[in-house]
Amino acid sequence: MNLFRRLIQTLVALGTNGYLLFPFTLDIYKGPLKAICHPGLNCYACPAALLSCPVGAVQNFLGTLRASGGAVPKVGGIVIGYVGFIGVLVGRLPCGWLCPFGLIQDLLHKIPTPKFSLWRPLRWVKYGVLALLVILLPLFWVDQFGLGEPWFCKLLCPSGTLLGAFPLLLIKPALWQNLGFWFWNKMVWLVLIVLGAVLISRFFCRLLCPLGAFYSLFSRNSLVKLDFLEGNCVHCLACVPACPTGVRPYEERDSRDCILCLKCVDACRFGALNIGLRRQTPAPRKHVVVEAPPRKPLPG
Amino acid sequence: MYNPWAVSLIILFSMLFLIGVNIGELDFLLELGKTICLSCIGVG
Repeated sequence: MNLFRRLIQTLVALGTNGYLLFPFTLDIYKGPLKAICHPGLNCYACPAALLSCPVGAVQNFLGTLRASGGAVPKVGGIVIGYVGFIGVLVGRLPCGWLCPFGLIQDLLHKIPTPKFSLWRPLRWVKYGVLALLVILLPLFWVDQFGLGEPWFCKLLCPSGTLLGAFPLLLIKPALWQNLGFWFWNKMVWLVLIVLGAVLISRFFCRLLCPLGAFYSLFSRNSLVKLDFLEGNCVHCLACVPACPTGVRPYEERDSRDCILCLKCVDACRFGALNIGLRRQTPAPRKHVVVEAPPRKPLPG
Repeated sequence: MYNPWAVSLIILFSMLFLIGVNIGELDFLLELGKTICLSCIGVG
């Protein structure tokens, strides 16, 4: 299963960044596919990117909201509806299977070094990143024309620096003269996140990713979920070290950190974990006491 | 019977998506994708 997932991750990462003409055109892809968002974090400033990034798109929609004047306000329903639909269907499965930056982190974590676990309360930071950098700042911190900026992209996004900035600077050397404080700030974040990913599994996904935070809002209601069959569990704890996001599947049902990578399903030899569909929980049956009929006297 | 919350949310997000398409957000998204966003290098 893990090999199959790695294959899907690789195919999606290469397929959605498959504009190989950019070294010759010295430009980004500008075709019609850019009207579709990637389900994962994938910078659309990357010259090879064929799809748009949902996080970047939402920030730009919100950033132009207050400058819309009398026109119909564009809140980014097309992007929120798209990622929300995916989230309700499959929860954080795109993080485990489709996100190119997730694949990069998985590969970085294979570098042989001492490994550490993330202090669990830090998992809440990503909701702050989503609220502040993706929603509030682009919406309310606007210039004299009422335009906000995509603060997550500008301040933090490591996918943008790695997949967007570096190739862009290679094909457009004139951009070098625009580099300033914010670029070097992003370089520091990139180095910290890369180091973090080497030492801590899925460091960025668990700590900072706003898209993962959004998907995780639906982990308790998504149609596809991780099933735990308590009767089959022998508490061998084989699933615990297998999980890349530090979830304990035997005691955390519908965890917001579960990216449905199914490594725990592979690790469990007793069939206690599986992927399944969420159905409405049936109402508990009422106990009905039926009075036994009076016994007939035995003949004779 | 599937989880009614999930079904309601699927309907809600589908509506959001369709409203977005109808008010021209698809064109906005396409234009956005065609523009070189320099936020990745910390500019603009």
